Amino acid sequence: MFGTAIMPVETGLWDAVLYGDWYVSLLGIFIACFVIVNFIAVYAGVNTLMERKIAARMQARIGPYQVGPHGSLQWLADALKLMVKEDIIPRNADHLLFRLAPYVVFGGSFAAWVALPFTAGWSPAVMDVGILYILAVSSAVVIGILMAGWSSGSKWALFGAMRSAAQIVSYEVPVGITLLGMLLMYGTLNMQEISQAQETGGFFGFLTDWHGGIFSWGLFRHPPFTILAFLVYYTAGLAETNRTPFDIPEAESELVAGYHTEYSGMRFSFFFLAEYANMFVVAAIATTFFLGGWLPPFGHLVGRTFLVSPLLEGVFWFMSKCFFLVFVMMWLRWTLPRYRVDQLMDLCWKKLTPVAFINLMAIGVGEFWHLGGLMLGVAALAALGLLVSKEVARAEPVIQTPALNPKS
Amino acid sequence: MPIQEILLNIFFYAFALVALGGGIAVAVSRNIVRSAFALLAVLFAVAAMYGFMRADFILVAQVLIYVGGILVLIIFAVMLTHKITDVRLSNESAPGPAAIFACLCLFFALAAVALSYRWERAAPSREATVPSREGQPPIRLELSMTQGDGRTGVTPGGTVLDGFVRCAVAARGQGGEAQARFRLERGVLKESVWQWSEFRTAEARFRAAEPGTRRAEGSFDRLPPGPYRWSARIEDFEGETAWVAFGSQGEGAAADFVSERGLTKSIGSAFMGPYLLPFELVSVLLLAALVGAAYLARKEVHRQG
Repeated sequence: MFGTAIMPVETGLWDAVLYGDWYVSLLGIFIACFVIVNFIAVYAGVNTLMERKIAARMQARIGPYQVGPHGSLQWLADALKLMVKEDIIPRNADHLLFRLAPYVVFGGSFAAWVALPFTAGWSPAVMDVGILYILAVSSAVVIGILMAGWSSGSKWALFGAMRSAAQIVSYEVPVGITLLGMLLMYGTLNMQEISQAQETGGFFGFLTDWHGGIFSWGLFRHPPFTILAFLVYYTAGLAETNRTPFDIPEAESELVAGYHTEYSGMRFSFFFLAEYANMFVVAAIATTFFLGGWLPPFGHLVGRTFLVSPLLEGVFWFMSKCFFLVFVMMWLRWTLPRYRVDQLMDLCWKKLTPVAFINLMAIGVGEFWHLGGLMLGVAALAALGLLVSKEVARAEPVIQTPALNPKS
Repeated sequence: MPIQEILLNIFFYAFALVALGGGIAVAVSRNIVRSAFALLAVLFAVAAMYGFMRADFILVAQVLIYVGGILVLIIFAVMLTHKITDVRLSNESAPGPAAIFACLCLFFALAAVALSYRWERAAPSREATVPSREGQPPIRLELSMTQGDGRTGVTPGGTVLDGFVRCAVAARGQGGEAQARFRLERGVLKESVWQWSEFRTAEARFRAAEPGTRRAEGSFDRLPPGPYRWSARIEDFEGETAWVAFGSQGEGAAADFVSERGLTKSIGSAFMGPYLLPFELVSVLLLAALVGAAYLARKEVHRQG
């Protein structure tokens, strides 16, 4: 009945399966998936090593040092250990859901990867609804976490899952509203077109044909609102990945390890892979919306760098920006302490959400009436300056040396 | 059956199976949490069905709202209930005969709708009579167009999804060896004037369809988004007829069809255009629901004095 109905995923690949050499394209789809899955695995492995090395550096330690030169092969040893470990399922667990949960979580974060714009004109799947698709499939992660927490039959896991779901659902609000504001500027949901739109333009929409390089990126379109939007998105995105300072779902001091307390071996490592894959997805969305996607920071660099092909150049810039943002996430993890649950909800609903709404309205005004946007921007800068100077004036010096303190 | 169709059928039946199986699991599971997780499978499978209908925006909206919002809230609420492990009664069975009667009624209603619906429709066509060569009667041509699936007709001025379209021309009173040539012109906006230039052509052989009628079909794939015109003519050994256009032609005429990638843009324009008032009214309704929820969930504050 639906013989020639066609999948919506408008990849060149799918189109070719249906209208062209289907075997070549089917092979292409398998290769694309194979490459992405393996890339996630290797990237997550290398990132664990990087994370441990960064942590060690920040705590004045050396970190892993035994396997390979300077510990550089530690991640392979870890992966091997996880693969050969015994797979334990608790007696109280709901066996079916317990086995299924890691795959649902990993599937959710893997599915988001196929819509990322890795380079000019090439994503694994070029979709008309790109960013909506990414936000939609990411919801499978929440379901998977709830599944893991409930099926484990352990109170630690259940509490972790509840906290995690509450956190992710709450932080989806500022994420959605912030991205909505940026979408006002680009007028498309397609990730490729969003990247492309940041090649020209800038400064409150006054300069439409200007190749401003870094100043044409979404980040500097409507200062300071777009910069605030970037900070709101990045903070909320960090919270959605359940990482420190937002890692209350797996707070070691309270919940053992949260929703994956009862998992071991390969199933545990799926949660692990999903966490790192999610970090990359958050970084990639931030890159695409605010940092120009695969565009080089200076327009005149196109075709003049050491990378011969413009496609490779796009991959280079996209990956560099994403990895930088992932690095900042690690940096924050080892710098900031963990929030409490009430502080977390307070930050989301009373601070980030109102700021996101203000950004949305201000960007809307700026897109409709450029001069109004400029005036709003100046007013916001003045208000921010006033606020900061008041805070600075009010803040008392925290540390006083005993010699200067008359009471001691 | 070409292998593409087999592949798609496999996918379709797999998703249908998941949707049905999940639905049965939702209904018969004695554990409410398992029911909720089975609902996940149903929602994803139904989303995939939307995919088969090329409704990718609806697909994403379904996953975003039902999976990301409603399902998470259901599971969340279940987990917040007291003594979660004791919650076993998710479905109390109604008495047998009444349940069977209700199900049969529903089944017959659905079956009646499915059987009475005309699943295959003839594509709207445009007829034209072209002068033939001297000494021969004029030829009547009938032009029609369908979407890539070959089943949904495209009206003149309509929209073609994802750049795949099939054209057909039928000729009455025409015999002998002949072929049809289809011509596609693409419109480009230059200084606020549409300029049309030939984009692609395709040719197809005439085959007898009914007595006295011969038919030729051509197809175009991977058309870039934009407006198009298409026309056809008949060619044989001695020459060719004039071009017959699908839409009303002439200078400044509208496009015969518009190629679009996905329907997101159209849905967005519809929401912000003709359906703006209903759209906003629905949002007011949601706001009212939100206020109501906040009222119900608020803590009683007893003011003294």
